[in-house]
Amino acid sequence: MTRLNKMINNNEIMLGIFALLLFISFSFASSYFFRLGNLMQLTAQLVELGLLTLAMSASIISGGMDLSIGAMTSLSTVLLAIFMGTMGLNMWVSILLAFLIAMICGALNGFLCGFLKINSMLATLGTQALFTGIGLVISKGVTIQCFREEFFFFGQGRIGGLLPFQTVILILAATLSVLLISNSIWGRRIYLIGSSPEAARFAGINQEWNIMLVYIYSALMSFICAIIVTSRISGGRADVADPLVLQSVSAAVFGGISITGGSGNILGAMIGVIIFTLVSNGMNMMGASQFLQQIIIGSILLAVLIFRYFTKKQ
Amino acid sequence: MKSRKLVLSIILLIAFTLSLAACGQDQGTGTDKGSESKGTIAVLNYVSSAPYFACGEEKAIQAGKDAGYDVIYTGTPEVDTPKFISLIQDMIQKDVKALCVASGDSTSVVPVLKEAREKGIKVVSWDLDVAEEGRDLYAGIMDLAELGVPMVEEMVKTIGDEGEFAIITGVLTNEFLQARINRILEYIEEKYPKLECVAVEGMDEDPEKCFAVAQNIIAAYPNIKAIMSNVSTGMGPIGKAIEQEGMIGKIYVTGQSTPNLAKPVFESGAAESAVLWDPGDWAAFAVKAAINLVEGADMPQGKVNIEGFPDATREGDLLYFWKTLVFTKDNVDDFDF
Repeated sequence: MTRLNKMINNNEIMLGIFALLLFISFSFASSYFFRLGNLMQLTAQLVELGLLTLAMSASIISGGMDLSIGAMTSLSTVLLAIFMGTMGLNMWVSILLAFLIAMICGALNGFLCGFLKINSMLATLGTQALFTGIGLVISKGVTIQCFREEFFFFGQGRIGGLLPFQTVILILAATLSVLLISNSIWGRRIYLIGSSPEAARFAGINQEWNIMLVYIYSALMSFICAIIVTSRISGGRADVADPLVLQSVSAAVFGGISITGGSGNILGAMIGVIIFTLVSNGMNMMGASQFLQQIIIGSILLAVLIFRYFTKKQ
Repeated sequence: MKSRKLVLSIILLIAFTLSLAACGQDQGTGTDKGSESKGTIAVLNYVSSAPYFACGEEKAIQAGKDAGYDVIYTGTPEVDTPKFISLIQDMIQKDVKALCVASGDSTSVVPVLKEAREKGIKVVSWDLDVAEEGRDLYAGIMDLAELGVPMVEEMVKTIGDEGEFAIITGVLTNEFLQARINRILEYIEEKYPKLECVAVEGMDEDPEKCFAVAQNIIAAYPNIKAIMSNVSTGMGPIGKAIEQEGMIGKIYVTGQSTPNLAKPVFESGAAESAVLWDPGDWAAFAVKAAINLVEGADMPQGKVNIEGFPDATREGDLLYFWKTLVFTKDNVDDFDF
């Protein structure tokens, strides 16, 4: 009995079981779902939401929320497309330039939230408008094309003709994030800052720089996401990643990251992403309506939150 | 402990219900009424919650049924390009025979559509055309930037050929809408030089935002005579803003609207006419073109024989069916979409 209790109380195990149940259900429900081609594609569909959920999780754990990740990603897609497509620069030079600009964006967020101590939601709402605005101005509001064969590999390439390359990127990024956030000294510091800034201050933790690093990490994940999006759509647009922002908040919270900061972990958030993507792909395979999908996603999210309320209470 | 088990069983129940619902779905779309389906055609749009796309479903499905095909009519509920691409990939995995795609921009879906074509799936673009390598044919009404011309003409009938007006468009990044705005500006410069466009604003397919944008325009430009909606969902909220600001008879809303959304605006007197086409006809035209491709039917240049579309023509890879509609309060009740 106590073993069962422990299992139910372990968020990641419960979510994992739930994902597995969904997987089995969809396999029986649609003859198109359990096919190698679809399963490989399913892993590729995880990637963009996955990377932005990593970014979002870090900022939420530190007690904030980075709402500018969608705008940073979109701005980076525009820059990559302009550097490579319009200006015809070398691919690696373009990536480096866009990377530096993304880091400046992250540092700006970090400066506002860490050093000036502006409420992170307000600060990143402001920078979000700023980044989107810059993207709109330099792209003149249209999709900038970027047809570069050598660049397609990031978002369209398959290793051995099968495993999508972006899936490998997500696995690497998630592993790095688990190491950094769950297992490093920096990680433990941001948990402490997130749960109790007071205690962190008494412990002598330099909040300014640790928060700065959170937003730089968030910008890094957004930038990696931008490389994949730009490759996948052969271009960049100033609002292309905007819808992913709120989805990443849902996935993180669904995965057990506390919205008030300081608890939850990256693995759970990733399982959250897997469940969201499973539902979307599986229901498409079943031919269910897109509107029904939103109801199902909403219901599952609520069910898990209610479940957590009851388990926590005891 | 009890409640823990309870919630656990609720979650299991959801998973179970899902799988049951699923079984029903799969059978439903397969073969119905004993008639063997020749295959499935997916008709996709990038914002399925817009009434504009929602109202095309019936005619698209009927067009497929007439020729013995199942039609999946779906789209992303909100503008969400990554998700839209995933949806197209999912349709490819479902072994559809053809895709009819209405995309928000002309390039982002091209890689995934190329992938579909490599797998032997026929691709027809409709609504906005996509880059050539992404599709076999484009099914359109006419060059839609040209629709700007009747929109200007209808506006001139309402407010005369001089004065200030503003344009409210959908998403500012939408090239197709932008092309029409450019055509409108070009046309008035040429033919009605005394008309002046003082503002172009985006409403992001959001009626509430559209209402607010219209209010701002009314406040900012005291001499304005008309606000033109460049999308089919704008006329209602713009008309309401004109009514609320007490500007009926002084400022008119013109441009596009579906008839159902235009009815209350005609009643309040904020508009006299609206220009559009039947989105159902358009979707059906795309389906018929796709079926012709799948069956390898002959579609020569010039006049094309497509059932139900007597004026259809083909120029290169562009198919047009040449049918627009002007609604006024006298004929608006004849339409229902």
